[in-house]
Amino acid sequence: MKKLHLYTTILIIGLLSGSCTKNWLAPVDPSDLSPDNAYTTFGGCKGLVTQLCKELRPEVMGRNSNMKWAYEGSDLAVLVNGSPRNWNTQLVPSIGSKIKDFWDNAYKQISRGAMLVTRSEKMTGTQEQRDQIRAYGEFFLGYWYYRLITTYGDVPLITTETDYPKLDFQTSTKQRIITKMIEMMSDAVKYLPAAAPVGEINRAAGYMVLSKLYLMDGQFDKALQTSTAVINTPGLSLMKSRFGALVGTVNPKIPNPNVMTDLFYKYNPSSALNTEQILVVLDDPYAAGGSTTTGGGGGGERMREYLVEWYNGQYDKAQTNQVGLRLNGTGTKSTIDGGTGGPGPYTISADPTQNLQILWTGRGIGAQKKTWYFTNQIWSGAAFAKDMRHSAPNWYTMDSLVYNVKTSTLYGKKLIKANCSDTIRCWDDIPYNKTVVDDEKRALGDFNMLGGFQDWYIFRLAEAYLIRAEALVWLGRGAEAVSDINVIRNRAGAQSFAGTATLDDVFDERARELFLEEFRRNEMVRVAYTKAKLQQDGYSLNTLAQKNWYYDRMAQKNNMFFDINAGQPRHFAYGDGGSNVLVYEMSPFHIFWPVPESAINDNTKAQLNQNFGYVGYEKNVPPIE
Amino acid sequence: MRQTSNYIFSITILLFVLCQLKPAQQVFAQSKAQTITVKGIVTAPDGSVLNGASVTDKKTSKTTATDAKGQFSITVEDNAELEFSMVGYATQTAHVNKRTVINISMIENIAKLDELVVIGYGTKKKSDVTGAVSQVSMAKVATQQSISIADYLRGSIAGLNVQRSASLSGQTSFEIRGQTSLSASSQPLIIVDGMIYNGSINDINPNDVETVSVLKDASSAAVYGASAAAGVINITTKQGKSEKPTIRLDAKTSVSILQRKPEVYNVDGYLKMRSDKLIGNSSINTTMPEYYSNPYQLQNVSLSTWLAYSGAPQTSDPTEVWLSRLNLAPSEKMNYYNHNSIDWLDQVFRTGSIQDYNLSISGKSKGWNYYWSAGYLGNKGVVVNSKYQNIRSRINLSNNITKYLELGVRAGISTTNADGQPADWAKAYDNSPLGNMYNPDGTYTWYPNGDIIARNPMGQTQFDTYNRNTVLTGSFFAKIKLPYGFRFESSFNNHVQFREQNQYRPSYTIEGSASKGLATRDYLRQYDWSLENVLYWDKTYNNIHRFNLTLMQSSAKWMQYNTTATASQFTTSEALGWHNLAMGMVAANTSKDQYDTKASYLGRLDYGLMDRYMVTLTMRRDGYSAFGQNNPWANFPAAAVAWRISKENFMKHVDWISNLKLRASYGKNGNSNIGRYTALAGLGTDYYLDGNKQNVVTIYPTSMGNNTLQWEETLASNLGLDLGILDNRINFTVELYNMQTTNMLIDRTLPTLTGYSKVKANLGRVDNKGLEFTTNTLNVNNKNFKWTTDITFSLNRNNIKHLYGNYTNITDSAGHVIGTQELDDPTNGWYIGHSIDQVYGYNIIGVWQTSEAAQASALGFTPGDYKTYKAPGNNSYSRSDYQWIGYTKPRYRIGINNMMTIFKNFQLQFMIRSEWGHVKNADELAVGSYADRVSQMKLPYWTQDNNSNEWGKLGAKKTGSIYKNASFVRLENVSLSYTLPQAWAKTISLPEAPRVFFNVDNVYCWDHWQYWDVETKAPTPTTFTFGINATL
Repeated sequence: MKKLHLYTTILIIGLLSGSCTKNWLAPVDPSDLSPDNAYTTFGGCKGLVTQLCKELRPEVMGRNSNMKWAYEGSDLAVLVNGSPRNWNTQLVPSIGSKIKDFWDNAYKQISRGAMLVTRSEKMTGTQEQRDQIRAYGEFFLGYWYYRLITTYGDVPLITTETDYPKLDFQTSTKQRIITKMIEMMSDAVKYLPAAAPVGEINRAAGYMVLSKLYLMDGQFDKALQTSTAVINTPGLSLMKSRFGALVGTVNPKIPNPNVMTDLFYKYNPSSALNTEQILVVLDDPYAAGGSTTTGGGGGGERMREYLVEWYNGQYDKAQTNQVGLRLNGTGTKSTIDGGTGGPGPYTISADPTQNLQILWTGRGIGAQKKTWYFTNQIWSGAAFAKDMRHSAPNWYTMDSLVYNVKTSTLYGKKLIKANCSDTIRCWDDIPYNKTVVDDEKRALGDFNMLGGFQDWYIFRLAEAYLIRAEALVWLGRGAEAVSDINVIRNRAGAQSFAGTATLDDVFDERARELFLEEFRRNEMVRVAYTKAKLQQDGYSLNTLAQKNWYYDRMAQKNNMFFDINAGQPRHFAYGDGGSNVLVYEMSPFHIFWPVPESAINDNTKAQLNQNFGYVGYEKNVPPIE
Repeated sequence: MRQTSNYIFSITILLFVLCQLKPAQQVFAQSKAQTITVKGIVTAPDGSVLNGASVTDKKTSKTTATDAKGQFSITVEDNAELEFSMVGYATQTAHVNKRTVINISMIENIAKLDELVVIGYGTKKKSDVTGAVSQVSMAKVATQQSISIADYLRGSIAGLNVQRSASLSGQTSFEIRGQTSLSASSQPLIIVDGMIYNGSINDINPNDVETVSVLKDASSAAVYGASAAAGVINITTKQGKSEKPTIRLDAKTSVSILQRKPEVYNVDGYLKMRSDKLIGNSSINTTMPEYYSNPYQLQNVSLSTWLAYSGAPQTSDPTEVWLSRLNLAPSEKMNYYNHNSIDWLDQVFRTGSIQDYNLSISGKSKGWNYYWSAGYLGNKGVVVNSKYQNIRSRINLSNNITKYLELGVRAGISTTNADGQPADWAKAYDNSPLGNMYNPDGTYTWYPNGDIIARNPMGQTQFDTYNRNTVLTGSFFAKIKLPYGFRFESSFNNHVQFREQNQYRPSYTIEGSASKGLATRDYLRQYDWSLENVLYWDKTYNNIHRFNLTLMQSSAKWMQYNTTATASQFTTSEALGWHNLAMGMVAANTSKDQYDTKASYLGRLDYGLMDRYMVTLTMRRDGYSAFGQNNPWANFPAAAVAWRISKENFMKHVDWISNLKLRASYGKNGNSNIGRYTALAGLGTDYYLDGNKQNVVTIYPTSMGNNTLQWEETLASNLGLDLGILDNRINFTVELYNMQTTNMLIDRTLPTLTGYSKVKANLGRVDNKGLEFTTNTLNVNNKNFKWTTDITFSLNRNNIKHLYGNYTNITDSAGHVIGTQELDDPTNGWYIGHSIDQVYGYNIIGVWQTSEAAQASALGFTPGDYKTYKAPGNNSYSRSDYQWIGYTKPRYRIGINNMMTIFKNFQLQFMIRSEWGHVKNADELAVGSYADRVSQMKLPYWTQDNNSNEWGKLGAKKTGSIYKNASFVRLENVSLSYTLPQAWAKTISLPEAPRVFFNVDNVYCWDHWQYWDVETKAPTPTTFTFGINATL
């Protein structure tokens, strides 16, 4: 029996030796970061904050940026190259492109912001650090939800981390989202750093988002307070004299620069001397963190995206005499963008084989056309005669360019609009300071000049003045708003105006000051929502899709969609030949883009709502209020 | 299940027919018995005496055994029935019938019902096996030459699919039955001596292997639960067998000759090809006949007219004009004038050789059992500079310390050297016969004819490559005998791998030039261990109830550490290469460590009733760290039954049936190859900038975790029938199976609202069903001629039943929704209701001929381009023209192995293997896009004069891919061996006569594939081996 004891003991030891606890099967992945090991510290969470800052880049930079889409379909410009031009037929839920990409990307950012909010609670570190991480998360939620609800209307509200394959999202009302975001942003501004290195989020940026949310919600006195808070931020002030990289150098392409040149010169938004910047996205041609290596295609591509196709459509003969020449190729083209060519307006290169004009302007593709309202109406009058924003070296008209084909009878002479066969694509003003960006990485002989690397603003102090002006207008204090508008005007060399400012005055000034800095369409939708919420001018939330301020303003200002004098659809047809002719058409419900079909289809366990007017709306369920 | 009931029905009918057969013989009349002593000699079929055969009186169970001279003596009643049995031979019965001398010649039992089959956690007599298990003995292939264990097994087990490989290290992958997964690995689990083996099969020396058994059905594999869905391969290494030490030497030496290779052009052919390419579809032959022809062989134009075509002065050198028209490079022209040419195949291919030497010592004495071996395998391939070597050694040692305790170790080491950096043989076909192999300074040219499309095939042989692998395995075990039929075994198993892959690409090679020298060091260390405790209980009650209970508990951990360091810009000196990375100016390092842990429990009960009815019940529970943490545990139950019908009384008189067994099993297996960290949320890193434009590291989420992620699950049923006829001289085994794999690991589309577009999830279902058929026959069994044949046949049918569960509406012609249909995944080529390997796409049906120029032109093609099927009415190609083109996996596989023994000492063995019914992509055959710049494989391309409907013209356009029939019949090997006479062996004091043999591997392949080997699509040599097996 002694032996039996021995056996039993051995047996028990043997069986016990391998017995496992639940801990044994916990996965260990020592070489990969996971949320559970990286987002547990301030530094790790900050790594996500930095990525969120970086991913603001597609908002304003690169090919097909969000900014471009926010102009096309506003009162300032229309899309020329590609679609959708006829919104009634082409702006549909199944459309790919930006309608889907913007949704997907915005929610990617929101999921990360929400992750920060959730992780901030579990993170190790001081209370101050936890508060700050939460504040960053709230900032990005606020930023992107403002962009989302002014693009798609009612959307799902997600404010905490989604860490499982959730398939039953539901739509919330815009109002619910506004209220929640005001709450979160009010918390965020308490804990965002008062001052932050350039490229990072500071408290003033938080106040900018909060101000817009307050305006949208109709809390104008709060918007007045928060925009004043931005203006009064220590260290922030409008740049009124020259500064930055162009000072003390001679750039033959930019003769006689002024402060409005300096503000937008490629390196200056992030300049330490720039006291006007609130939030900037950074780029660099040589660093791994630049757009060379990730996304964007490298560089800002401003010239490709926003410049006129000046090298096409210009002929020796007047337009009436050369109809169809561009198509059948029999006309004599008188401008050229290729490797040889004629003079530019300024002597910048001794190499006679280089096409000077393209070196000066770059190679735009005429992707969008500015409206008459933008290029002419807002600048008319003596007050703007000396406006730096609308004169050389910051703004040029087409006749600053000359015919550069040496065999042309018009060689060296200024371009003539009457000779242009396509004044939509090939004839447009050139906002030089904001669109022409040299590319230091361009190879000599590469004339496909798309536009180089630059830093750019997400928020700039000038906008805070215009937000405050708008708040005052809404509050019925238009007379006080005038002084804020004049601060902006005077700095640019335009004359003051006296009297009482209106919403139109504010929007005119925003157009003049904030080209490629404001998401114009979203700002228009914001006002439309507020007017409807306050039931002003006969608008109401119930009929937002049928009658809204956005559509009505388009009818007054966008001369491509509308006969702006009559305020009626113009049915203007444009195209480059028989098959590709499209009519510019839109309807009031286009105030919101369609919710992408894929977003609705992939959410298989609940119904996501579609906007009125689009296919799928009939399946809607009441949104969460 | 309906299918299963069909099987059962057919088998019932068969049994019914069998039972109608009447007894062939009358039973002897009984009379009063007297006791007598019976003597005799038991011999083998070849006449040699058998030592140790047992002789049993069936009535009294009295038993004796034959001695070294094969003699026996037993006292029984004079009417007794004696049973003669011995492992490996059919049991025979003799009626004493008052005889005192009974000599018996045993008949070899090729059914081997007594053989112990390795089943996973133990062994079982073949006759007791309930599942679908096949076992082969490696002794059978001792006269063949292959590289890996997989190669030796090819064709010998129905349902075990081993493709021929062109790799120098042999084939390393298997597939059992069908593909049961869309994205997880379908590699079977490998078990070595009972332990899960996480290494390469190449680290096990085939010479050390005693048997390989393959667990094919769910029930037999269920003992390995979550890892078993793709089947299990069980390798058992050798042990000592006799008291006397056995020293065995196996030496083989081979030459490998590349018999099958596409040709390259000689100079004339090359120039003709260029000319054909340049002519193309142009009308130059009508406007300027013979424009590209050799000016000295003009048929219909005068030389002066010919020269005038291109405005060349009449005084110019016609050859120069001609070669210029053909766009030859200056160096090519020079070689043409100097009559220099090069046959690139001679440069990249050679006669290869294999050396395979193995020595082992084994035996048992005084409680010790030992086996030690050392082996060297060196394979110099047919591609110049290719080389593979390994040295492997093994020691299996155990000792019975006491009656109840046995301790032992099984350890092995394998070191592999794959330093060879072979020539890039494919480039040999791109290169011009007028190209230059060397620069004037003796170094290799980069581009032999100056065109960047055709690199010098020898260029990469200049890399300094160091590719070594060392694997150590060690298993320590204790076996304890306990009372009441219990046994306890505990083992601790270790597997360590060190792998170094270092390379230097000098700056004077193309690949190293941009980085001015590129050095890489890749070091990997892997260590995994497992601890296993098994309790066995074996008990038989009254010779009627047999119980075997197995209880197992184990835990295991796997760890891998990988470091990669690279350096470039060796601008100062390249002398030290990869040995000194510090000489490079720019360095980059990465590292990756991975762990996983497992825990398992197993219970198995075997019950046998009267050797007739057998039941096996299995339950395995597996925990794995790779599963989602909501539930890391999985259960895998299985059950099997077997009925040995031939043991039933009603079968006793069916004499011609010696064995009849019906088996059925059903169970669940898992595939845990879902990726070690797939269930976890992943983060990536990137860079952004600070205000000073310095890089800042960012961290962002890349993938969503899935806490509910599970193993892939296969539910399988198997129905088997074993039939032995005429004393088991003819044996059949039929297996029918049906497998349903669900919970497959695939990407589920997510609403992007989550921040992610997809997540790995368990979705979908794939079904496999199939038939396996094995026969072993002893065709002739004479003294001077014995002939056995083994035939294996298998087919597997595979069907995707569900994918992501996304449905689309089906509408009738009026647009009304009449139902829904699950969506296919065309991106991956997965279509609901079709096989995973079924190809759907544009179908190339021939070549556009001159007479069809108008039709071709309407679709954007010209004569000589490949013609793709187009549905009637379509104006251009679109998805509606897609067709089902075929299957890429064989529809049927067959292996036939014949073994003939002639005059006792000569043995002839040959294997024929065939796979058929499948197609293979052959886009490589659409050649000639750059035929005006470089050379190419010699093929009978389409021209105006050669209106082939199979081969397009040079640079032919095509829509879709070329698929060709890949069916084949291959004479896998022929082996002739001669065993030296025993007497001769005795004179030089050898315990056994040595055997010498000659083997040809990959003898010939019959197929429709006009290209490289149909299985490998790469140089695959025929190997001629001379070898010797000797016991010293």
